[in-house]
Amino acid sequence: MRQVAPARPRTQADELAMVVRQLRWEAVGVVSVELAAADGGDLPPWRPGAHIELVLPTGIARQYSLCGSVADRSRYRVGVLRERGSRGGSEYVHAFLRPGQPVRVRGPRDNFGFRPEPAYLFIAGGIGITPILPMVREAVRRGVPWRLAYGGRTAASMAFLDELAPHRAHVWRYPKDEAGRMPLDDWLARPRPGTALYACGPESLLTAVEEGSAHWEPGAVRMERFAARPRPAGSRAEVEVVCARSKATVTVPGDRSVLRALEAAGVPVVGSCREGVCGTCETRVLDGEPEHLDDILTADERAAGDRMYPCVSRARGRRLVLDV
Amino acid sequence: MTETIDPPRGAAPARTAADAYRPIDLARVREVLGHPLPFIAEKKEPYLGEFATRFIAHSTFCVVASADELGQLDTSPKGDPPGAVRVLDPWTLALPERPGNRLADTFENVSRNPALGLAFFVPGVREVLRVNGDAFITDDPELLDRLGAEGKPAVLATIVRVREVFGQCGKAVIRARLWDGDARGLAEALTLGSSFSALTVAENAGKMARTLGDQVGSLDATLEHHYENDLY
Repeated sequence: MRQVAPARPRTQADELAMVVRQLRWEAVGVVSVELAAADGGDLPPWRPGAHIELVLPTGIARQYSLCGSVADRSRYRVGVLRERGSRGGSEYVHAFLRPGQPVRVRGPRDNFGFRPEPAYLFIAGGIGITPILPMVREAVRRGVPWRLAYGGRTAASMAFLDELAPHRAHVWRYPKDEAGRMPLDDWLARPRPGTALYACGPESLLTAVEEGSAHWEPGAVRMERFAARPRPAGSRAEVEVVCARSKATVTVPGDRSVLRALEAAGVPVVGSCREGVCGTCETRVLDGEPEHLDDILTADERAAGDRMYPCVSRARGRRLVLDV
Repeated sequence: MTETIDPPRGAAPARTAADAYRPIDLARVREVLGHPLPFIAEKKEPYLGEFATRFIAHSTFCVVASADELGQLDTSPKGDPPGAVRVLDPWTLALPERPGNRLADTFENVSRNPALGLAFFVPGVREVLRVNGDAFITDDPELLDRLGAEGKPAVLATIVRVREVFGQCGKAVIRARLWDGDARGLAEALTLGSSFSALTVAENAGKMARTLGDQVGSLDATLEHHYENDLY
């Protein structure tokens, strides 16, 4: 079980003032961005799998996995894919961000929950390689067995292959135009005892991994999504939220998220993605049973019911008591 | 002469304040204003260059002018976080439509007359970017999604085929003190510590050298001088 950081209201003070040190072409459609503290100081430590929220000079905030070295406290590195249908974040990074520009960073946050295990199977699709890369380095450092299945559209679009090159014997590459789809059945059919699976990539890959690993031990499979899974639209049941610290009770109508209703009531909860992916609005549940609709928590964590993401999640009953 | 109009509402009566003034022709206008310098006269480009694209990506506000088939004009302000208007390629813009009062004057006009005039503003930046072109309306779901905000797709999108692009000097914004006290830092993000004119010169060095000659290097300083001394 990963540690739950004590919930506290997050404010502007939690933002790091940083500066873009470098943009580097990594593959077709992918650049890496290196960031350093504006005052040159050490950056908060992080674990493999963590992500930051990057607030671009236009004020747009986007989450990116950290893909640099956990040992290097002087800089953060993220990999950014240019997406044609981009809502403006990756497009801005590729077309407009320049070295020297000031940016703000929130986090790092860790939704992946990477843990020391006897052995690893990593599965990455496309830009999903970014959170996996530091995990690979950690596995190498600890000298435990690991294998990586890495798929992409074409070899030229697969970032960081050069950094993986020294570990060639552990890496299976699947550029789709040459090798076709990743043979997930071969990878997932026979789970080895003690091997944990970490996966990140597009929704189609993760759905396939989820289905293909259904017979794995619970808790042995962890994945991270970039975008929310499709959720049924429409109105839901009204919820009454008791805010333990703010001493307020907020009625959340069926057509409004808990987060929006709390914001409207002036209760300090900070959200970002608003679709149950980034984890920024994580809130401790003191009483009541949350109805988890996020794409972050594992089955175990959902069952624990001690925290929730109010941007999407609601309540099984009529009432929730939250530590806000 | 003042007439008492009672009640002072409804359509204009036979005589209004405008009738107290005599219109002049363009020759007289030129007598007063003079003619533009060659580099101003030739500043229009038929495409969105890199700096114009960057400008639009940092713009939070634009004014959209359209006309119906009779040339009756309408002007509509559009505001959003920066980057809401997207440059699809150097000859194409896409503008999101957010929920509004459904009067849809711009759409009514565009469906009769494609001509569209746009003035883009970036908080903190004195100069204005002007784009004129021809527009049509689309409901392409992928584009509406791309133009979405706050998790909701745009209601409709206006696609503009760019006809002309040009910068306009900052005197209007300076006189209005439009961005006084603005702390968003978008001007810095747009110009990276440089200026509108310096970046325009940098992008169009060849043409500017031809139209401005030796003065190209001092354009920025000249403009600043005008901004300080020739506002009125």
